[in-house]
Amino acid sequence: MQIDDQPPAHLQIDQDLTHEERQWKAERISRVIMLLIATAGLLGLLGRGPLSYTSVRSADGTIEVRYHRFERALASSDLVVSVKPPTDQTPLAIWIDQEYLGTVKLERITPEPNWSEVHADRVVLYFDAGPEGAVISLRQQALGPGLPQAQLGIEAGSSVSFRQIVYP
Amino acid sequence: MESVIRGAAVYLFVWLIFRVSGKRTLSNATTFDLVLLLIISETTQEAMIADDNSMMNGLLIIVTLIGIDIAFSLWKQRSKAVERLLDGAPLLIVEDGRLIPERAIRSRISESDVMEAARDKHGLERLDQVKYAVLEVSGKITVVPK
Repeated sequence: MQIDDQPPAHLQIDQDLTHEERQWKAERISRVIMLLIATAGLLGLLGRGPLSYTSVRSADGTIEVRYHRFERALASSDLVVSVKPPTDQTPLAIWIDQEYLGTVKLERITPEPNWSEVHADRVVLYFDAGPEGAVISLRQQALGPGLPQAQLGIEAGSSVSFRQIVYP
Repeated sequence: MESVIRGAAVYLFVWLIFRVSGKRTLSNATTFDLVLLLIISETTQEAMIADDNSMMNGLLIIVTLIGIDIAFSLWKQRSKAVERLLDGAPLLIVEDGRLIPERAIRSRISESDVMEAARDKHGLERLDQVKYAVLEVSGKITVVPK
């Protein structure tokens, strides 16, 4: 029996084989697209995952930030700031760009800073840190989709800058 | 504003994904299909509501969803082509007791699916007792006995 057969005349059915052919084609294409989306998700191209997790280090190596390149709005993730010797600062002061802080909600800073200072362009967090350096984790949540540019650094020292992609 | 955009985006996405996944997806209504549907609805709800549990947000999303649904049904009424695009069309899969193989394969239907519908609605025993079986737009198989 051929696919282009017409339905029997006495069976009142609104069949359209041309449409059906198109539908099957769309189904086949969509299966490939769904597979690609799932693969991209597994690899971390659509949020957190191996290809998303990356780090940026200052030229002199004193500050390194590990972050997710691809984020999702309203999902929590960590920025891990590692400060390596020499840090002759006491206390250790880390600044974060205000513009970036406007695009995220800082949920938790581990360890908690001793105190913080707010300036027009940045927020400075003060920590007690030993001479061997410090690792500070900032749990944050992107507030909305976009391409926020983050800048942070050691007060009167090196800084790093990176851009994230935040999906809706 | 965001609630309306979220509602509309989720409506269109869910429509598209169900439309391109084929008539038979989730229409079989096995226990697992039902559970899968519940999981999907839960996930969809989370994406629509986001972090706003207010009544106004709920009201806006419901109005958006029902509004789009009404708009689509009015559009379907005016044009046959739109109706086919949005809902699909029924397809004859058994004629005079014979399964039309290419249509069955492409629609992911087996002889046992047709026989299940034939037994369920008409108490038929064999495929040759089926005059016509149609895969409806809902994904259900309807049977006309000989």
